[in-house]
Amino acid sequence: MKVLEDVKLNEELEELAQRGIHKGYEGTIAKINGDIYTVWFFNPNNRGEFAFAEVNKKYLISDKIVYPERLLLEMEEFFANVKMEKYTHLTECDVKEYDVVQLIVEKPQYSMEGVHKGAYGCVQFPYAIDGKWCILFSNVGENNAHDEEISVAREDFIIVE
Amino acid sequence: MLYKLFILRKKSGSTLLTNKKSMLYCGKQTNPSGFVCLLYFRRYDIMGLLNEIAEKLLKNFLSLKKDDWIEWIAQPNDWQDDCDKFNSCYFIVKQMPKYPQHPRCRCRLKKIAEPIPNITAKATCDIRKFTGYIFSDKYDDGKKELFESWGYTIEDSGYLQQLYISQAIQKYCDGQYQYVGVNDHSAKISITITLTNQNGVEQHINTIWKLGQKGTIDLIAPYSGHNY
Ligand SMILES: [Zn+2]
Repeated sequence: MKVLEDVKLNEELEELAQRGIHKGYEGTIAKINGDIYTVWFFNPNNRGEFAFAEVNKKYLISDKIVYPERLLLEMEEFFANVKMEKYTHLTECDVKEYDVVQLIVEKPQYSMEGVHKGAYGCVQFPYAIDGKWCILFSNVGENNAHDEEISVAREDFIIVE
Repeated sequence: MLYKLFILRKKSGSTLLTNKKSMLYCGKQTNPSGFVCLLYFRRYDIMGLLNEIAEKLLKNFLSLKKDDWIEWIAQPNDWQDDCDKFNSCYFIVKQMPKYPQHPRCRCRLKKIAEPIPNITAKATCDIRKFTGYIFSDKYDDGKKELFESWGYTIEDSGYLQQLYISQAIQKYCDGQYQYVGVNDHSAKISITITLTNQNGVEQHINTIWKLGQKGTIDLIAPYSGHNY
């Protein structure tokens, strides 16, 4: 395994689990220091979120993904400039597909789609993008006669069941 | 900015996912027309910005007829607005997103043959759209009662799933759909599904589908209003 290679965590490790990084999570090797690899982990349940963690190489397996040259250059530049110590945790996601949820805020980005505070909806995808979940709201819009699916920030809804 | 795009793309396999603005600004997009496209480029021209790429894009686009089909090819690592969500999607020209999406958009349109149901196009529908949503007791939104008043119960979920799939793929391939915009996850189209109730009366139901790559559509909203 070498820098910029794609890897997967093959064991649940207490120290990493506490930081929201679990067995099976994928990442890219950002730095190598002997047997200790700094891995750029991604949150599979919240796409777009990442964290850096040091892992002994024995807990990693290679994903064998080949990246185009351009992306490798881009990643190199990214690793050179990112403050790795700033990104230490991944969010634990408590939302599941088909959960019933309720909107608990009134915000223009939701109301312009006809979805108001108190509306009930159904989670549409097993993952969020940048902390926003795709939710299908029932009986909203004009005459409350439509279902509207919009992306909603996690803090703006509660899970009902 | 680029690495952000990269992360999203990487984690979504071949589906390019990005863009945070879409939900706010592009919930309802207008449909494209040669006229709009022309205006775009006129403005470029006046501003002296009409370059070789733009000229080529325009020429290709204007030679398309409204019933032609295209595959949208997003320029890797150069996505803005919602371009990434259209990557590898098939559209009939009369129901496609605005093209080009933005100034200096380098997305390409590739003319393709009309998709053929279950050969070059495929519809999918999770049965939980019925068992876990329409007929679920978790929701007190009247949809269960509505479907039951038409003579359908949770027992008919499998039947409804197949009926939705077969009607939707046929209509999509016939170009009988409406492009309705994007969310953070994908581009969306609406398709009218016809259900016959127990008295033989037809109900025309608006349904929303996620547009996937290479002619795939997947049901999002199994009921978004209906007409008699
Ligand atoms: Zn573009």
